[in-house]
Amino acid sequence: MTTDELIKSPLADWMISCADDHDIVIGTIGRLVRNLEGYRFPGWSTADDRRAVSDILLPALRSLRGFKSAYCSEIKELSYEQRRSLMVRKQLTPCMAARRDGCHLLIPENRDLICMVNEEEHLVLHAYRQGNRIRETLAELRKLSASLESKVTFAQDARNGYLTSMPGESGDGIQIYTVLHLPGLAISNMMPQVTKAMEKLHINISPYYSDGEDDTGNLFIAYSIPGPKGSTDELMTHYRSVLQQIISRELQVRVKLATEPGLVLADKVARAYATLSHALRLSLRECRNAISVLRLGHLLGMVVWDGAVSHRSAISQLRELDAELALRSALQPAEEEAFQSILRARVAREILAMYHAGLVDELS
Amino acid sequence: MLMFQVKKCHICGKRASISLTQIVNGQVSELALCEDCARKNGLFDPGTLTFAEKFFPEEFKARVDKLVRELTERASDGEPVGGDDVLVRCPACGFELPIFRKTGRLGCPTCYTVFAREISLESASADAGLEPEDTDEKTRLETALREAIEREDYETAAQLRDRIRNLNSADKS
Repeated sequence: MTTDELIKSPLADWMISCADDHDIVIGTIGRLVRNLEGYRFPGWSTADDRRAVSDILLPALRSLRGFKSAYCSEIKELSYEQRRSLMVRKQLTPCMAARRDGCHLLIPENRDLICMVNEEEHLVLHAYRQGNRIRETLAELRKLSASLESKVTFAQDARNGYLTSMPGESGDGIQIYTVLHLPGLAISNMMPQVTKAMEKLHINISPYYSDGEDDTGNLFIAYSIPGPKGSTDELMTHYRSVLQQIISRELQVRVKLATEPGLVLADKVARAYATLSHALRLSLRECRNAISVLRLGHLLGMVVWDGAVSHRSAISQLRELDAELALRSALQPAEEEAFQSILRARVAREILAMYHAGLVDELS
Repeated sequence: MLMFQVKKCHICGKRASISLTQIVNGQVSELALCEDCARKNGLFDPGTLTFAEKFFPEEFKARVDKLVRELTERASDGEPVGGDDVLVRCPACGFELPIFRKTGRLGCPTCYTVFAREISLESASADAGLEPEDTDEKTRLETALREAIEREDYETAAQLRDRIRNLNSADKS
């Protein structure tokens, strides 16, 4: 597979499909990090060191199942635009996009895993799964690690576990993240409260699109902060139970918003619908926020679609619209924002019209 | 036993021309010496250290151990030694301790052994900050104190002891 084929291939399922009836837990991301014994960590290495690490890790990765015809490229061979597109598709991390000699990206055929050689650590694997799949992702990453360990020696010791460039991250070397869509809590301005409460429970929750401004699209990413005690399994059990509390709270708030007098939420949904179906120019932020509110409106029965569109595919359409618009933005140079905003608005209008989306009679 | 450049001699304070690092059970002992002091203490000419290390490792080790012990005793008695601005570097990758203090990152897996003490200090302070509020802080601190004493990390132990004292006095008041 060439880089252009990869970039033009459909977006990964987890980015566009709806695996959750409530459209809350969008996906689970597992990150596994490992370093080779006897080599400098990438942040302190020379190009020769990195090439030596790649020479060991790439054959080991290629020998794994599903990697025979995997996509593989050295980062320095990718253009700026290609790196940006891969970042939007979550197939490259910002840290890796900035790297040069001796750093490789490897993506297996089914594209549910990305392997980065010489990112922050010698080996960084990201596994993407749809919906709430914490346990399965953890198990898959451990299995992958065990397969690789039969071929290469990872740096580890009895006291610290797997060694990483940041001592605080050593141990199991696995971190699980969950992408959450929390429009109810965000609209109710409860996110600062939730974030603070989660911190006390060792869970970090922050906006998914960290562009340095306000959160966009009401999407958040949550992960368990590695604690002083307890294994990853214990942390994950705790994390799952806290995650359940966040989901319950979001559902409660949605019901409260929907039943509030004064049509506050209905007004927001109607405005979001009007924006997406009539605007001639849309900024990415405006578009993402409108799509998020429309998704919420759909779940609360305020938006109707063509009879043939199921509940999940309606959500998927909106998510795909969101992802596609982000991708188009990445492919266009920043100075063409005016052109992009017009294009974005046109695509949004077309998709809503194609599926005959509209507000329920009571609202319209 | 490993060699690398340092700033000041631990004995006289002059510019040091050699540094010796011993790693025993994860604990790092360092000795920086100028050429004169190295000769006076029978640690050979710096240029021949590798030779000495290779052919008389036991004798060499005993001499270094003795000197480290003497210097440690002098330091604990309050006697000044050559200076505290010794440049600490990982012999495997050349990574320096000040960079770890600044960035929180290490250079290679061997740095975990070389900077073991600094890493445990960092993690002890991070752990203390991460505990949830609803746990019994005194019990937690006491456990951390026991662990610090077990691994002979007396600096952390002293900090933890002071925090327990503060908690006790706050309880009384």
